Amino acid sequence: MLAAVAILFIVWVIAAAQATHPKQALASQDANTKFFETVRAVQTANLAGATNGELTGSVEKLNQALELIESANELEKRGQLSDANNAAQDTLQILVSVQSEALSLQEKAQTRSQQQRLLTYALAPIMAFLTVLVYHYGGQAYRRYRVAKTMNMRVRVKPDARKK
Amino acid sequence: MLVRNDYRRTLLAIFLASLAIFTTLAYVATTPRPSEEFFQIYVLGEDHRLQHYYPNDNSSISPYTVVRWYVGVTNSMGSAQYAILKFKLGNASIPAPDENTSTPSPAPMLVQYSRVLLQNETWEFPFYWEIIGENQTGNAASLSLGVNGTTIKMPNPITQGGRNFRIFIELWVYNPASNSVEFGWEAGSQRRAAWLQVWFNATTPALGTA
Repeated sequence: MLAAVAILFIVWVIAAAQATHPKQALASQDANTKFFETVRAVQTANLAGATNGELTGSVEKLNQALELIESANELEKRGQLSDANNAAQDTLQILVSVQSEALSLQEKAQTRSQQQRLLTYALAPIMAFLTVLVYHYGGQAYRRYRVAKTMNMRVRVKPDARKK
Repeated sequence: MLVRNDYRRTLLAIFLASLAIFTTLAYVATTPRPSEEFFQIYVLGEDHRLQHYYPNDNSSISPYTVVRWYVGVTNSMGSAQYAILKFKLGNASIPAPDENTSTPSPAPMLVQYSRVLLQNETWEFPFYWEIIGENQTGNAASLSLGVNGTTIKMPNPITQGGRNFRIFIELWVYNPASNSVEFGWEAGSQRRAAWLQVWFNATTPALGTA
């Protein structure tokens, strides 16, 4: 009878451990996976043209998430699984918000750089047209100046020419 | 009439030539220039300079003497990066990291610090350590260290008489292509790595002056 109770107790302990451990490990693992996903999202936003000023907040939150992951791992090592799980859940919340920020920054940066590119290329024909105008009106003005200069010429007798 | 046609042709030629020049300028202005991607790591002494790495400039460290260093990383990779600095304790026989093959040192890890860095950001932090114990087997000694207030027992490595210990500082970086943290980083088609080492001797009462 005692042996049966002992076996039942051991089975219960194993079952309880299996019921809680995978969840804890899963939350911690999720946080780790999400962290790398979020780093990639921030890097993509940066490469799309998001500035350091725009990304400062996201990177600060990422570092906060990193500290939480480290403390979750530490708590897990100490066997404080419930606290570790809470820390991992907090981390996930932070990372989700950073990821959505990074996505919106990426879109914003892409739109901005497309607009800048379009504006810069649109300036090329305008500048070419202005060059033609400058050539045309500049040429006309120069010709008018030359004509006016010619028409305003006066005959002067050089003093030494009179002697000859 | 002929003169007017010639003039129009001249204007057209000027327009086309200017268009070509301004389009080239627009391309140059909007195309990002390739820049070298790199990290920089450094370790400074107690006065934030490349000197005084040991108390009284003596590389033989006695127990409970706090050694104060400042370790820094600068990110010049062109985007935000996740960097890890791994501190390892080695002796003279443990191979050092190899930057040519991007192989980290097999020395046991002491501690690691990680952070996400913005482009052009420098992350510097204090690295204070002290010898708080030694385990002896004959003349061979291994150490217990206190690093930034945390005690770390290091059964390995072992040195003769506490001589020729070294602390390796390796820079590991998250590589999004492989989705893993690796020793070194990809710079274009090349692989680069950065690491530092500082040697010291452990002076313990039992071993005498190392």
